[in-house]
Amino acid sequence: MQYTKPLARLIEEFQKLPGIGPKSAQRMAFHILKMPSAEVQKFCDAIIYAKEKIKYCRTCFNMSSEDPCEICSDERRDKHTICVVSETRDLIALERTREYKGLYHVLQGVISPLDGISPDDLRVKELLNRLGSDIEEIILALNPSVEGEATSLYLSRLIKPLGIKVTRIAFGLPVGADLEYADEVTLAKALEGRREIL
Amino acid sequence: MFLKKLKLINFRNYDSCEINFSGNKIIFVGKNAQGKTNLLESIYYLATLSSFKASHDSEVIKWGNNNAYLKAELIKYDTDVQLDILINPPKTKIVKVNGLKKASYSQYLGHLLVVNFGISDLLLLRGTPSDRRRWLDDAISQIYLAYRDRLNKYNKIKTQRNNFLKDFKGNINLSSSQEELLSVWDEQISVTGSNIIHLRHKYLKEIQEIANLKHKNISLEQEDLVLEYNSTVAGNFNARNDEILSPEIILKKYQQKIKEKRNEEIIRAQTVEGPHRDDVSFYINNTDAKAFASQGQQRTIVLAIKLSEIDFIEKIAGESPILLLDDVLAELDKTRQNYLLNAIKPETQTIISTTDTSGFDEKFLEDMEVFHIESGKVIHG
Repeated sequence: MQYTKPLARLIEEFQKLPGIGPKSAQRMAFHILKMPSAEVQKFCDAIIYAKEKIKYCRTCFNMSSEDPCEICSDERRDKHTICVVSETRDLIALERTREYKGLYHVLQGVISPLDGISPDDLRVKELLNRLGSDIEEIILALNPSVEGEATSLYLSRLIKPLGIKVTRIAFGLPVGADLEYADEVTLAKALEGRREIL
Repeated sequence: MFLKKLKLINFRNYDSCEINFSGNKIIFVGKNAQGKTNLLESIYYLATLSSFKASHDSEVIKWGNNNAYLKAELIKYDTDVQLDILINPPKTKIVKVNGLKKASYSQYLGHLLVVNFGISDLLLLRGTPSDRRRWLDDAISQIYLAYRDRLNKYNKIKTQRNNFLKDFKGNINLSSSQEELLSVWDEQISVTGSNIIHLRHKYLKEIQEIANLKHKNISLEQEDLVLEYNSTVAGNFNARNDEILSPEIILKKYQQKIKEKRNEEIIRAQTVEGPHRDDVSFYINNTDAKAFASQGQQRTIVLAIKLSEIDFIEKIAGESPILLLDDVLAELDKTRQNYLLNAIKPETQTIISTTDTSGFDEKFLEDMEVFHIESGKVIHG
């Protein structure tokens, strides 16, 4: 039996979301149909409200309802360091550590010729424009994927000639992990990124 | 290592099948297209998480089903190990060791070690360079567990780099930012590629003299075998005489080559050289066996390198791998057949598939555990 049209359309829309397959989409659609109308209205409002209110910070391209965003306008933060991430969700992961006190720059993606994404599609130019004499260090915190590494390499080639220190976050063994239980790929990575003990 | 029990559900032509092995020498007998090779394939799959004949996982699943399940119980280092695989495309397969789910394949691989010897291997020297790379890659990834991951990474970089090269539409005059970006892809591909070449050198060096010894025995001391790796970026590597090049030295040559090939690569919009274009050569008494050896000589070489794979795995892992002989005995003449059977050590569990046993040595058959295979059913004895 086929779904009635409005239901089929709803399932179709859910399937467009990342990580949602046909079965999850169906489950969500049926759940929504069971919800009271007022709840459904609230849900729709929340989506539209978020979409309308949330903008990108014009300095760091973080998602925020303010412009400049909460981090850029925070006086207590170290304005000499910028940490480069690919998405806002990576920024949030780093913020959760409460360790990093510098600024961010969200590239909004990584270089991927396969998906037609070149540096011009990312916020690279905007990053370079931020690099005045007050910036001392750029920390590259991109994923260790092929695309993330290409982007890191590209940025470090652009920034290093400007006399600014460029560092990359370390990949390898998680803290608290036993060496003997680490898989070979992680160990190989950890060996690649090893450092002299000072 | 010893395979005690094999279980297949919805794998190839098997609905559900469980086989218990008690001996070290096992033989599957049956007519063509009954499912002998499928059993060997399932063991190979349990070892390597890939098939030796299918290019997509969906091909190994029985028609009309969504998933397939494989299980092996083995004895390794005198203790029981259980492996489970659920093949459920397009999702990633679920792999378990002793009932515990493993998050990455590299945590699973290395538990069951096999050497597979099938008819297609006999054509190794006649085949294409890609056949020979596949042989080399499969052998290396059982020993150096991060190797498969490196290969996957290399292929990803190559795809990205080729896509990037396409953007220029053959125009070799790049802007400075394009030049910068190209050099980023160059660096990535050369660093990863150098590592792959280095490990291939290392592996060939390791098996060179073992293979030569085996080869001398089969050819009655008359022929000398030398393996050579022919790299498009780092030149030829003679596994007997040359020192293994460090990844750093390979990298220098690699980057030089990329510079030389820059214009050609842009015009063809392709990565034209690198480990994905390399090849292996086999020399008998200083003559290139791919071009000049007889079919019999070529088979002797394949036999020698397969047997050296077993020895090398045993040396590294401390235990003999399981040897899979898929239909290959019937293809060998009596001398080579006998040599092969005698060269297999008693402790190497050997699983053979064949259409009939009449050609085999009586004595050899005595210790064999025989299973008859008929349209996806296994009958003991």
